[in-house]
Amino acid sequence: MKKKRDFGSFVKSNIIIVALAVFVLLFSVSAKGFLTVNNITNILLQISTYGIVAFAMTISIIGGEFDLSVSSLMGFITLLFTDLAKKAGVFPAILVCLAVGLLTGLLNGLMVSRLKMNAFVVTLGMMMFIKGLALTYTGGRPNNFPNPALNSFANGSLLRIPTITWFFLITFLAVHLILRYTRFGRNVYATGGNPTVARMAGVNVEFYKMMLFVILGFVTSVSAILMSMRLSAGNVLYGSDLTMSVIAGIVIGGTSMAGGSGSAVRTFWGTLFIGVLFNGLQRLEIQASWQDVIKGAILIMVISMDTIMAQRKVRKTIVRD
Amino acid sequence: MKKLLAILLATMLVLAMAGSAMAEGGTRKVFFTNAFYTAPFCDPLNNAATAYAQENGVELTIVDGQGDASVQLDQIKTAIDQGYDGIIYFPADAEGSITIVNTLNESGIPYAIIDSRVDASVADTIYGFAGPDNIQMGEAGGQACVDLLGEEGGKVVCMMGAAGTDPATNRQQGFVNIVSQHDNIEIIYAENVEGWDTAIAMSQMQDVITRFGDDYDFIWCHDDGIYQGVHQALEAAGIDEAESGIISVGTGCNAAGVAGIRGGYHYGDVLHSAKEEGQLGVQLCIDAMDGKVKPGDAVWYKCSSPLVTIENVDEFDGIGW
Repeated sequence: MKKKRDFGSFVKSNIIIVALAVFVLLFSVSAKGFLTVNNITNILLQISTYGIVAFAMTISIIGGEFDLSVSSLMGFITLLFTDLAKKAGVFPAILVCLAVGLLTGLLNGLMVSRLKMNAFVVTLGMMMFIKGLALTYTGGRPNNFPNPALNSFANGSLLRIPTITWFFLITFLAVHLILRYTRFGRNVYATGGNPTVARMAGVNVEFYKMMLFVILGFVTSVSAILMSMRLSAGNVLYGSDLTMSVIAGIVIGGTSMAGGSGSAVRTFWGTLFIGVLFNGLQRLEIQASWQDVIKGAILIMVISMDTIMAQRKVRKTIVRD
Repeated sequence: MKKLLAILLATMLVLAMAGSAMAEGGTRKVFFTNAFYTAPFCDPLNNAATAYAQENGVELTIVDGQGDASVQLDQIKTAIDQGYDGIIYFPADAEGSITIVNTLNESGIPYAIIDSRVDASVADTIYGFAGPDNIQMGEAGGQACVDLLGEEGGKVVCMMGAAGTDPATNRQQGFVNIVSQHDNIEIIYAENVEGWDTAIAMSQMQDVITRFGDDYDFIWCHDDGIYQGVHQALEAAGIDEAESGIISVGTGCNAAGVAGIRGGYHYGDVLHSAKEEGQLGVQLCIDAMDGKVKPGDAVWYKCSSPLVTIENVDEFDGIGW
């Protein structure tokens, strides 16, 4: 009886893992070649570039903020990297791109934390500003940088795991450890949960709010550089769906958009779930329009189940109390 | 909760059955990643490609490349792993195509490039390309502009396609090649229309009207979806193109373009037939699968692109898109 209850409560608290297991099982049966080393590697590779940003965005959302400008920043950095790499060399290009990412995050962070501006408005404005800058920089033209060494690095693998997936896993581990075991992490939760209480408890809320954006800007630059290396190109269009894809993975994983709760582990599962879903539907050879209908329906269902479970849990707690 | 779970499982069951059923076909299977699946031009292209594939015993699966080379790379890697007989690749941008073309070449699977050209560094390695000569299309538009404005010249508004795409870049390049030779022609506005979207084109044209009123003589639209938005904005502002002497030329020759030509308020369209292009793309892929075209042949299955005006519209009505 106890075992049954334990399993039930596991299911209720981990809908995303259960849904992932169900989908993996069903795709394994229905989609030829789904459960192969090649395809699993492929899925990991597919989720890695955006997944790296998803972990940094998780910190922001837990801290009670989010950033719409990452999509434009990614496009701009890919252009900047390819252009500078050609003109000044790879390492200066990497340094400048990382600095631009940090600076963008810092500007967003300062406006939100010091000037108390709304993050939605600030990052929306920054999104437009950076996109305009990117279009001005190259006149709307994409850039290429066919460098075989960089391309092999970004498309290569180490211990059968793609290079970019290593970056994804390292970012996951780093964000998980920071959020779970450091004072910085605890203060991010406190800032996002209730900034007033956090401030009263001595947390420098403004500093943490600012750092959320700085980290996100930096990590987005890393991801954009990797994307440029992978494609040997830069384009203002790259990453145009980044913000929505990343937030979808975070929310489906169970991190609350209200801030104060969530984890890198949840984002990992959410991102992996989306990767499995997209890959599985393609392998089922379903036409794009139907794929979108099915993806949307499944995402709504999974989030609904998670929300219903969470509400029931709260209701039960209230009744018990 | 139980109901939701039941719905989820039922959906999965349907997917599983659909997947199994699709996997059993005996026909040749071709995978098509369309970078701009939702663009108005691509709907008739997809339909024509699907119909032509069916007529030729090919099962075509079309997916949405989301205008992003990294998404397309992931899709193509999955398709290679699935063992498709052929692949059709509609590149999001030429620069981002290097890694994708290399991946396709390494796979040994016959493929066709459609609509937009790949990067020059890999252009000689491909089987072939099915699509228009975008520079020539732009030059035809530019020549119409020069001829119609005559010695007096005038002011020109350019509503360009999505930034960073081969058609947008080259159609504008071709247009500028011609008009830049005439000092009496001044381009007063040249902006990209994101996603080749009619609604965005309408909104941008409203901005043009706010800034310049009707003080321009010629509007160059990169496709008829964009022209449709432009025309709607002019109509909403009470500007009659015929009365105010504003001449517009687009590309495509879809129903809106033809209606404009017949109605006397749209001078003409450089033909770009989505149907022809879709059919040529599938035919090229079939020829590659049959061994008639080989890697490195880089053949061009060229779409015809005459200027369609009131003089010859009857000949081309219904074959645009």
